[in-house]
Amino acid sequence: MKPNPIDHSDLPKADIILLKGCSLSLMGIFIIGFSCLFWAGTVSPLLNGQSLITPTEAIATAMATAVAVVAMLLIMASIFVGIKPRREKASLSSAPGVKSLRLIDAAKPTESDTSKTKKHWTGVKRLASDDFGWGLFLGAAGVSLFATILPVAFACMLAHCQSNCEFIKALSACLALAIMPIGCWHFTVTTFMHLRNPILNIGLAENPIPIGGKAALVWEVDGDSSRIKNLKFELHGTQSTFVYVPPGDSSYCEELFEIIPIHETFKPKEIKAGSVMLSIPESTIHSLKSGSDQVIWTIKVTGEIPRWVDLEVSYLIAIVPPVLPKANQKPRTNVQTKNQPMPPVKNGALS
Amino acid sequence: MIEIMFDKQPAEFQPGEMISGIINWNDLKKENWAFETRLLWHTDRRSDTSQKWQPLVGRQRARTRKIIAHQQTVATSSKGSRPYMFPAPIGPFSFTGKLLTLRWVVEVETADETYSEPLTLSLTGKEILLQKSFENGELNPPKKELSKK
Repeated sequence: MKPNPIDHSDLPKADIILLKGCSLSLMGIFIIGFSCLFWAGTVSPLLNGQSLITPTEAIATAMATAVAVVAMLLIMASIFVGIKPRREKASLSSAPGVKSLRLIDAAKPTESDTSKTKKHWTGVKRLASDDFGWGLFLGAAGVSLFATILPVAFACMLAHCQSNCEFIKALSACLALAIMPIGCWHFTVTTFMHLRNPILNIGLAENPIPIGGKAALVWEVDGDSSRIKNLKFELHGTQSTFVYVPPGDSSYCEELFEIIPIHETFKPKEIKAGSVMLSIPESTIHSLKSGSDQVIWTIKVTGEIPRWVDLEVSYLIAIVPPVLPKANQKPRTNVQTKNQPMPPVKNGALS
Repeated sequence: MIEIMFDKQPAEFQPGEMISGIINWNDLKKENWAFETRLLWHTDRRSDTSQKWQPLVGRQRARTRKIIAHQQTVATSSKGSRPYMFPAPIGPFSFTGKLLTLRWVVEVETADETYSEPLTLSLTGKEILLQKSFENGELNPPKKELSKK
């Protein structure tokens, strides 16, 4: 999955709590407001016998309101489930002169991996997939419900049209709006099918990996791995930034600049669990994060599942410049790094 | 007028190597006698409207700029020279891509002028090209930059 332009992962925990709190408050206001309007406009007049609508119409309105509320609840739940502080940054603070260089270290290791019974998982750091999972599904389901209400409402209007002109208008609006929920529901169903795929656990023996270095990549499939026909591993390099759009706007852009094949297997036993050596070419660039300018590397895994949505997961890894041997680091003379006091300049021609 | 020269030509360096050279100045105004020599890197972004690389200005550019090391000099005459020396850090490496470039420069800043001379830093010393972007040969990144503010 492509990195999100609005990268919530950089948010500190306090900000995430605030974001969730705000969404919860807005949701509460929405539900209370909607309920009050529904009561005042539909239920109350109906009970007092002053209503202009029939009880059937009132029930339909109530159902539409309920669907809208459920949709909002789903969208809110997606925020709760989806936003997590997944990425962590690491700086090369120990490297001379590159204190400002910030590298992405998104591959968050989990300690539980070392407890795996498999021998090849010993000492391996598990990678977290850059996947929204249930959050994306809930959000998509909420949006789909919302998108469904509108054409249904227009379809209801068709029954009450007084003239042909009104009927044609309502019909065209109904048909036009029907396209949107079809797309939304297709996405929702696809997302749900993704969730029912076997779960792939991936680990790296070393993370970050230096340029020109090697690290063992191990994997294990939880669930019915026999459904997977093949498993393909690739290393993807992506550059991204905000690109200037005249006269004064900017838009987020990203481009895949390199695809390095790692491994592909069709053997059921190897699909279930296996390992391969990942080599980083010397001619490539390292991960970089400098403001909104980023170079990121991901391990993309795809698996073909017949008659089902294919397995497709990305794992963010960090590639760093190789550490120099100490013999190569010559002593500095007359040079100050930023934020350090300046020694006096001594030169015959200079004061 | 200030001229920045490298001891090594072409100016292609590897991490850990020493970046050294000479700053020559001639007819330097007295208010510019105190100047600072810096080793820095910066990123440049591409404007989506242009098919070729072209320098962006002001808010359009909005680039990142990191000074890694610096040394100060105070000249005693309008003409002279001064050696400089910086150890090349381990990164980031010089690269050019479709959306982004990262360049290293040695820069001299006086009271009212800035001069810079580009160099490349990578494991091979050559600038890394993010290859896929160059399939159609549409980009033509500038190899050398000598800017005057």
